[in-house]
Amino acid sequence: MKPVDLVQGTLDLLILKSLALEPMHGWAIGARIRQLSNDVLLVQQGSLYPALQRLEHQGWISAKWGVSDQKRRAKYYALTRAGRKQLEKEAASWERLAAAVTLVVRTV
Amino acid sequence: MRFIQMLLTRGRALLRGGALDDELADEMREHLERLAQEHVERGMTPQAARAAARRDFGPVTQLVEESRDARGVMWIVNAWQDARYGVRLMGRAPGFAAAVILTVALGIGATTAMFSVVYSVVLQPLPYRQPDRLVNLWNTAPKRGLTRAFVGNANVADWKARNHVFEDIAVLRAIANFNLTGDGEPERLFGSRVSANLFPILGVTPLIGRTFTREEDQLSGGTEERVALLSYGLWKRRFAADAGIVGRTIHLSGVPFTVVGVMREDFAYPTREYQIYVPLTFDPQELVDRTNYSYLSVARLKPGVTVKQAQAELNVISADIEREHPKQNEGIGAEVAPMLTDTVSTVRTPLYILLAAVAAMLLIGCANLANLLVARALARQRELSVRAALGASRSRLMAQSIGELLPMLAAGGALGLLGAAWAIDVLVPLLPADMPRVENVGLHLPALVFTVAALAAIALCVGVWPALEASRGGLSAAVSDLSRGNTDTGARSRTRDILVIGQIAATLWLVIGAALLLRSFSELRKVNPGFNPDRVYSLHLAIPRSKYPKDADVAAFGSRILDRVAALPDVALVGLVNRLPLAGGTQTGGIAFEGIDPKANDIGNVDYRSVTPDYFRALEIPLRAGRAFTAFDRETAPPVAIIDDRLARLFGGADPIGRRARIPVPGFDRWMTVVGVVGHIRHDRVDEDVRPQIYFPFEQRAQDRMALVVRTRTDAPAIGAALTGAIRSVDPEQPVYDARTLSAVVDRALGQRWLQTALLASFACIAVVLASIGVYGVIAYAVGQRRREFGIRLALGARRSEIVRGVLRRGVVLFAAGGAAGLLAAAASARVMASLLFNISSFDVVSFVAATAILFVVALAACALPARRAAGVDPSVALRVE
Repeated sequence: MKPVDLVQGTLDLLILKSLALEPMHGWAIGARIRQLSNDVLLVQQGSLYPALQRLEHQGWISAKWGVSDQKRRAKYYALTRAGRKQLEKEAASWERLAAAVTLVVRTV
Repeated sequence: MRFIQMLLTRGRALLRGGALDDELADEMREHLERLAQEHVERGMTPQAARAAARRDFGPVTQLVEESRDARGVMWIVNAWQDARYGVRLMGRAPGFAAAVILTVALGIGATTAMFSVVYSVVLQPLPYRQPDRLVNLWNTAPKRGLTRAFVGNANVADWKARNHVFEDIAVLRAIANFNLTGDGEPERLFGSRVSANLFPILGVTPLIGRTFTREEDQLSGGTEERVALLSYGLWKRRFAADAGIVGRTIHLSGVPFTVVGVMREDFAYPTREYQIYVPLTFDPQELVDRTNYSYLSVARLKPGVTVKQAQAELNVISADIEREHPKQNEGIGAEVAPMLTDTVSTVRTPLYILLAAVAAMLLIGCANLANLLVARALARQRELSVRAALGASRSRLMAQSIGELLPMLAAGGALGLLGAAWAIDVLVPLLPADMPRVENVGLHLPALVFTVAALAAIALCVGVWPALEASRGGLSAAVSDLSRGNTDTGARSRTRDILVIGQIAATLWLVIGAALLLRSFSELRKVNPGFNPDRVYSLHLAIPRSKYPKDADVAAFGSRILDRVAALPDVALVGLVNRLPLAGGTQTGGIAFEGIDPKANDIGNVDYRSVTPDYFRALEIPLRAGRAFTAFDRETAPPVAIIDDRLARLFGGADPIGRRARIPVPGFDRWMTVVGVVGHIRHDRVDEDVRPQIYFPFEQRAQDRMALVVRTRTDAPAIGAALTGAIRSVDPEQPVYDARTLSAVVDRALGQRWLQTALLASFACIAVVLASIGVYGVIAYAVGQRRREFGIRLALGARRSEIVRGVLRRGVVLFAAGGAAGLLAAAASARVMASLLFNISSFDVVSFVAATAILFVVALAACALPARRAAGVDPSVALRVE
């Protein structure tokens, strides 16, 4: 199956969702999204970074320098309390959207 | 929480933008390496793996840019960059920068100073509790020509008893002047006799001690105890801020008073001049007679009551009183006036006119700025067009234009603020001392807010336009049009023309205003006050009744002073009078003449003057008929009077000498014989002829408040110290005050008019300079643009004079348009101006024509230089390509 381009605005949701389990660094977030979607979702790896800056700017995630599993310095991003709430909100609205689209696709 | 975190993130982004960029680069490099590593693990060569990783990752530079933008502080970073660039530009063109900074400084300085005065005097709330509920109450007597009069105690008592709109009403007599003796030089103090409820009505408390009690308040039926409240200034100056002042005894006009308290520093009621307060005492008979109208009255409105409602109720009460006391209260009404409005009513219009004048000046300056900046933007048009073509948005270009302007605006604004602070320091002492709230004038916070707002407005108006101009046309304009140096499109020059027309209009408006005021002031100077102030020195003294209880004592004290002063070497003539002309004080009353029917001839009030024999000669008030007073007109001699020639007109052609006059008040049934007629003088004001005068011999009507006038043989000011010495030699405890030449007294009376004239005239001068720069700039620019055209025309045989005429014609057309608008503006504001003018119509033809002519000549002169340059163009310029 051919990978599909990301729907506009869903990248934020995916990042928040990836970070819901544990803090991660940029590369790991990209890998996680690919892995969880069974390589269906194609994320242009570089575009993670503007999104991360934006989310940090909104106060939904926070960044801290740490050491990666390969013993290298890496910047770890973690979900803030506000970010967690935002994730719930965005996930809920995504589900509503997905359900509505599914409904439309099936009936027509 | 989230808000704070956002703030922290943003702060870090702003302060450590560079470091964040580095971190980002590290992260991205790491990410790329991992991607490459993955590809290698799948069997790619390292080189191919790196290329694949870069493909997966996307365009690095663009992503860095996006990330930076995502931090949300880019506009600040940009503004900072632009401002720094602006500073560099300033260094590169210091002359340009100086012109901009000076223009801004001048405009901001003048407007800030003027706005400060307007705010401090007219707008700032009075320093009392809920000052908007405070009102002044006045009596009115429209039938007697008095739109506003002091109130009578009897009326206030009735208002207090019957109204439902005021919380309370206070009464005071602002004139309660004392000689303070002991603890140093004897000193004259301005004081006020106030009812005890004044302080709670105003909502003020003393700094130490207490205010007056009901028992000390005779209005409430209390006793006449000798207690006094000091102003903060007096306490500090005279009593060295003695913390134990309360309970101390001080001597006021020879009578011991107990100090009960000291008011706070900001308490300046009715004005800063008042330094001491004592309880209001008055003869209870006043409440029966109902004839004494000499008090001020202040009331506090009940919550929610409007001035209009209070006025309506007072109208009803006044009508009732009039019915109950038809004899005394016939035609007497009352007026409720909001305290702040009432206090500053005399200066509001002049201040607003001056503020409008400086605002006009600021606008004229800004038009020059705009023109300068557009010229610079056009010079950089290629750069700006290329940037626009490369994707810089219009808003980004505008922001850049404003950002580059900011350093110059900041410098100009700072300079302007310093200038305003300096101007206020210098100007406030020059302001007339009787100007209301003058002590409050200073740079208050709202004035600073005003300044910043004005600067922001300038930045927007002046900064946006050049960016718009320069980005017009796009890339094609940048590469084609510009290279031939032909940039002045029709629309662009139209905007410039409109600016210059506006400048000319505003300037003409200002110059006409200044011309009107100057003409009005010269009319005022032409007014003959009826006396000659040259070489006359004057001072005031108040003779304490506690020391000189009887009229004869006062008269004897006065004549001893006259003898000592007359013996001084430089003194030619010396006299005493109870009120000095144009010095602010007055004493008036009615007068009746034998054989003149008061019903047919309404004399109204006249000035009562008690004078010594040489007073008339000392002031050179001419004797028209009969004789002046002599040393024989003493207390025991037959009562006599001298009238002025305005009163003499009552007798038609008949001789008033020998006719008898009396003061038409019960108990004053003494008839006085008119022995002389002297010239009428202007006593209250130079610009208004208020009342005629009647004079009494000092010894027959001694007064304890007196002015000494001395005509000197040489220069008047030098005599001051000798005069004080002569008076102290008679009584070492006698204070003198307000000692100055009579010319200075007259000048002070004209002070406010002089100041507003001088200010408006200087604003007009500055405006003329600014506008001529504006006209020069526009014409010179147009000539520069058309050099090649002029060259071609000259080469084809056009005469140089034709070229000159063509350039001047452009100037004349601009002037005609601006001049017409300016004349219209002047006509529109004529009604407001009229209130400032004396003897001059606000449509005064001389002022209008002279102002227009002056500005026309200046505008033409500003065109002359560029016109000459146009005529001097070398025809070969037409062939050259830039």
